[in-house]
Amino acid sequence: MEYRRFEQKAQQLREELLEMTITAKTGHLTSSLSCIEIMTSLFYGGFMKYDPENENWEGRDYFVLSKGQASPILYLTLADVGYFPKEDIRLFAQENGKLGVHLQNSVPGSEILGGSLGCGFGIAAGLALAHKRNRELNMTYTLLGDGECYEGAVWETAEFVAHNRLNNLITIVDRNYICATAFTEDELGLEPFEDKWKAFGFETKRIDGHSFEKIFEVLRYANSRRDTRPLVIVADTVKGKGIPHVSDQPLWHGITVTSESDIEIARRELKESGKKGVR
Amino acid sequence: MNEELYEKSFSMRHRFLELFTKAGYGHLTSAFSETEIMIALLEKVMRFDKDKKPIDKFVLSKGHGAGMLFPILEDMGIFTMEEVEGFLGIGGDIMKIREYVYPGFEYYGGSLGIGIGMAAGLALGLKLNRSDANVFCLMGDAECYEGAVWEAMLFAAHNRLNNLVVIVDRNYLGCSDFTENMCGLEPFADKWRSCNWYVREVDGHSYEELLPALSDMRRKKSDRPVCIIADTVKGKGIEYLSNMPLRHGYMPVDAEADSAFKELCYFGQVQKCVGGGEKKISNKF
Repeated sequence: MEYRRFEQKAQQLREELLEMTITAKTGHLTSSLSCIEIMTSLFYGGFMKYDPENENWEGRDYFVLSKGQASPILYLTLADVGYFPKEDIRLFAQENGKLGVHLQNSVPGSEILGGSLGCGFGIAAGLALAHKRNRELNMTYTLLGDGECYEGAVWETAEFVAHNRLNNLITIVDRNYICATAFTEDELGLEPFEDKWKAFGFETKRIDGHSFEKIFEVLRYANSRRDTRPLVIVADTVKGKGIPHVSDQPLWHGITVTSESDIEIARRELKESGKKGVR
Repeated sequence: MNEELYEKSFSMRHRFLELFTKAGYGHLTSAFSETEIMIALLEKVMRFDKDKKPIDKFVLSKGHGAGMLFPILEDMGIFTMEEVEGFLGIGGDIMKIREYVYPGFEYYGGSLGIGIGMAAGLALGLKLNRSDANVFCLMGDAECYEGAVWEAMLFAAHNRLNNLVVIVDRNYLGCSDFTENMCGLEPFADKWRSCNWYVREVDGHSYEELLPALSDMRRKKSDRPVCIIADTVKGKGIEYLSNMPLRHGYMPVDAEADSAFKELCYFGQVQKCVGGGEKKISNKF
């Protein structure tokens, strides 16, 4: 029961996310839903050091959202912890708004301009290398999508990270088995996924990406380990978790519920799954 | 047993030096590390029809090593010496060579990481056409720094292209430094295996290991694409140029060319140097 607080927070974010994308009539709803527990753990679980008052604080831990299409959930989290007022959220992807569909670096706390897949990971590796060179203790966290791993740039970075022993970089892969148009194993098989990372010199951990218990356990381990290898956490998730109507279906990528009936179903299902606990 | 082939690799290296010291450019070290692989492939493994048009496809992904094709194709009688030298001199029409549709000239090489993707596409096309032809692709090891290589690897394994044979010329040297100093590639075989490839590691200067490996792979015994990691020495054959960083793209000219000819060594069961006598050696320097 010690994770009740975080489960409630995740549920709150889910509801806000749904309303946010319904208002905007766009936004990557399903991509965002799959990584909510990971984001909540990082930002609310006390693993990341950050200061909403001072976005350029040098002692902060960096969070790089490489799967930049999941920007809605990052915006929500950043607004919720106080980087910018929540009113801005209502203008997501609309006229005069500050927040775009893909991640913008003008948003406080967002660190990078995201959306081109495979690039954020490289930036995160550069950040981690800089911290290591400067003998600073900042950690860098980066969240990758699994469809993003089709990009060769990801594997170029993986070689670089392992070669430079960037153990201050924690890579999390949101393994939801679906990319934009199809299941990953239908489109281009990624399994054995862990073996790939191992061959590239990473230590791997595979967890259930919707279980706070497991996420906390692995993040605690990530912060206390003594190993020169970088760590990758492969988090098995469900795309569109919380709303069965949109979850685990290809082609529900990059859109949100728009028709009246869909919106009604989504709201009802999300409430139900919140009542019985998302899991 | 393969003495004849070792003789051939010596004469091919010699011919390469003749051609390219005259031209004054070329990637000598890259060409010398892949000589045995190319000879085994082109002269023994790949199939040609009566008009000497290749049935199997060959894509040279490490386009900078293309110099070695000239002496070998000349030796196979595909074109004559005069034509070759005409191509290579300054003002020569090197693109004329495409008229002959030679293996290795399927595309314009040199941009690293692209050839394997091209080979995977060819292999898929052949498979869809129910052809039994194979696609051979020769890559450099530092070429594997390119992300495009890993994209192609995923693609080939997913589409079960068992007619694709990739040979990696693992000479442990990139353009400017040893690969393990620049950005470690080891465990290299594990990387390929993790992408569901069948991997075989051989000594890339030994015909005894290369020929069985290559011809075995032609028989399509599994549904996986094949990677042959050929352990080689960059600049094999000329000792003072071999296994040295920053000798990439180097070509001895004038006085240095003479010493290169003198140092050029034959290896096999018996080592012979052009300048001196013979001595028994192991296969490695």
